[in-house]
Amino acid sequence: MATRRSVWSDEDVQRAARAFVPVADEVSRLQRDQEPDCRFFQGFCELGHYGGKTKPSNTRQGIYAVTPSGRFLASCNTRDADVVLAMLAKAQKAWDAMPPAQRRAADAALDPSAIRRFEQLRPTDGLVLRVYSRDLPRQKVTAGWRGQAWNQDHAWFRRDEALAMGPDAAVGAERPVPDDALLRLARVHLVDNVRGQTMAHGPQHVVARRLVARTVAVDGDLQSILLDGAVRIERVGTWATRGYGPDSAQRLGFDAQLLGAAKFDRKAQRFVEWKLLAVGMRHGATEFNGRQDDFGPAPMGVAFALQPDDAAVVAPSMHWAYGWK
Amino acid sequence: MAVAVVLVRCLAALALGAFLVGQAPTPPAPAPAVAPTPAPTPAPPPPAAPIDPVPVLDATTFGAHWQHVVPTDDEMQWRAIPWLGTLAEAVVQAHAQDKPILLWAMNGHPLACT
Repeated sequence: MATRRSVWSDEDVQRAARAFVPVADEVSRLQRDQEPDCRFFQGFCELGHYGGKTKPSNTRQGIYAVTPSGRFLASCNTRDADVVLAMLAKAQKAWDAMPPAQRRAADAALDPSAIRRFEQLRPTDGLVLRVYSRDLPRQKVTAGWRGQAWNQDHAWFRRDEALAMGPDAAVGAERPVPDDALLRLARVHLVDNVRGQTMAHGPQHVVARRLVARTVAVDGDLQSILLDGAVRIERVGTWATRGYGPDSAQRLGFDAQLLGAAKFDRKAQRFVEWKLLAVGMRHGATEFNGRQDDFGPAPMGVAFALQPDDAAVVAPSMHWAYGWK
Repeated sequence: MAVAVVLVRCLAALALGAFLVGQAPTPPAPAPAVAPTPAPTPAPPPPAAPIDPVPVLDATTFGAHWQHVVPTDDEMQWRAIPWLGTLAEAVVQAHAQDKPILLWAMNGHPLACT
């Protein structure tokens, strides 16, 4: 995630990227599955920087430049903007030297409608949230990018779940957020991914949960709602706490207070504002979340905010834990 | 005398038989009535004592916590690049625009959680 700042925030890289169609995607699916876009990726990824590599993993993650017909131009995997600039220049040179017929096939190389992805389940009529996680101010700050890290994700709620979150439009009216929705929010999104990916919790790990919505004001069609609650996660088991490390007995948890404010448009039957914070103490580490030397307990915050309708459609990172078909 | 010899030989044969029986493979022990207990998983160490105080979340602290957690405009500079979210979209768009594709592919979607 450090690449966001070190590479993609660099003005020279941003300028060079204008000559390309920029896209971000999840590599595990691309290199594993057999959907048309996956086969497209598999057609060039072995020509890149990790071609043939199997240890410590077979990941093909990185930065690639290819033609719309799937021809490899250049690639790298780095946090260094200069290396990316050189890679883009190399790709541009190869593109310029390529006969037009090789750049692109007569038709687009694949048909997106033939691809099944979780993104197609995005509940456009429900509640689509961005999720941000970050350490709260603390006395002992880890050096380097990990001490400044933050991460993001997306949380989705279907229309029926979103509508069920709203209490009656009378000041003082209360309603608990539907338990299925709250449990999923806790399992999938109250995780410590500040420094990197981690696993979703099981339902049994959410040992306490409560989130109540209360109407605090009504102004025409606009209903103001206060969200108030708490979640406690406790997990004990055996897993690794550093990448590719040995498993050992571990525990992790997050003991969080929840507080937020939302506005519900009763005419449009949708939330038009949503701010929810989870703040508390987390402890423990998982294999790839960068906490191998920082088990805590330490303060962490998770924020949920409405995603703009025109944002790129990206699925929740642990969408398999949603159980949606 | 002959009977005595036969008797001795029979006794000797019995003793040898018993000896041989003693050398025969031991039949398997009967299964225990209760399945053996697997080795217990060692208990993880308890969490350390916190260095930092437990953060307070209420109406007076909400704004500061929110501002701290949500990324600043500066931190979101990387979104100035108009990233598409799926490779397939990029293939179609690049074909239409006659441009090469710049793909940032990570374990964990870069526009979600990586």
